[in-house]
Amino acid sequence: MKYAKLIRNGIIHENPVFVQLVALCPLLAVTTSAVNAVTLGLSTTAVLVCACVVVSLLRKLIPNEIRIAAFVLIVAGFVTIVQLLMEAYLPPSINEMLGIFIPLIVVNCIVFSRLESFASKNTVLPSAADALGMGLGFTLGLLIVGVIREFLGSGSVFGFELLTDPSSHMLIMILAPGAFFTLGTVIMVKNYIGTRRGGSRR
Amino acid sequence: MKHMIKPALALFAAAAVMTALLGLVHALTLEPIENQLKRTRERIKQEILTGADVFEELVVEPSGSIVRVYEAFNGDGPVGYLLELSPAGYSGQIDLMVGLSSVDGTVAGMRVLKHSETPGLGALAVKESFYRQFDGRKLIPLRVVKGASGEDEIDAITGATVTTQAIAGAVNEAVEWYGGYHPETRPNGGGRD
Repeated sequence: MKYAKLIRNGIIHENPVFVQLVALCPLLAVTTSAVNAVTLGLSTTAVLVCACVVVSLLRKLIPNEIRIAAFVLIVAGFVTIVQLLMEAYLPPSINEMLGIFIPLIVVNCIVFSRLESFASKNTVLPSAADALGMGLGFTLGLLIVGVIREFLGSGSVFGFELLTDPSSHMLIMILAPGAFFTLGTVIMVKNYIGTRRGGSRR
Repeated sequence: MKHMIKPALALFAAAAVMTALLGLVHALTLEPIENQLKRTRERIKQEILTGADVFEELVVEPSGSIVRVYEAFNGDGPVGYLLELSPAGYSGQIDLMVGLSSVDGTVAGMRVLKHSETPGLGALAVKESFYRQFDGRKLIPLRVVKGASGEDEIDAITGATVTTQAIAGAVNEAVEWYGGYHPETRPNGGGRD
């Protein structure tokens, strides 16, 4: 039960995108389509879980002075592995679209904040659950923003064209400002629902 | 001294383990990655010049954005030329291929291989509705306009005129190259308008 709670915490109560407002750079850049959003979200989740498990296992062995260097090393290693696997087994079009944002998972602040604040202080299973929750929360955030932007900006969802008339597409939604509009609106709706339910958080 | 050696050793050990792991994954994925790249290229080449199965690289002086030129053959003889070009797009180079018929230099097809154009705008150049526009063109220079209708007009991608111009420019270059390439050996003396 404890693990389910940790996972839910990352997806809902401390959602990295909608509550913590971290990792906005990949959010702005890759959520122009739902497929990109999900691929980046799941790659980040994979790296996050692997890195948190390893750091949690090694937490007593890593001297405090070189903590950050060791984290960077471990995260960069897993990112490279994920990238190699994606190049080998995923359609080239997805790799092309995500481009630099896969290597940039190395400096994603969700990864470091989880390593520093959770995995380096907890045992393996809770760390894995926390990482999974945060990763899925990030994926969910990217997905929601991605679906909205892709629909309004290109008239399609997951590549299926729904609005074929180009004049009905709002170009600005697939440009950077569209990401801010979408993010702001989603947070507004989320907080409104939260307050209506008598949520104590805000 | 001791308090410095221990962290250094720990970091060294971590780096060694991680390097070994990376080496392993690299070795395992090396072949699939190469196959993936090769498959994509072969598929695109055959898509552009239907029926061609042998591609021989020609020795040409690199000029403009032309990188490489292949002559394509099928069982009966030469069917066309395949040019790899890398014009400058809106953000970075666009790697693309242009296929030309060996009879009269008509554009058989154009495909973008690699690019870093804006997602949702310039990146739409990989869409079929865009690249199909180039099929069968031979009247150069092709001009980029909004709402193209003429034989020498290419419809611009909304919000990505620079990208469209770069690609149309590369196609122009390819057709021009054909015009200047050993015209005397061509079966009907070339068909440039």
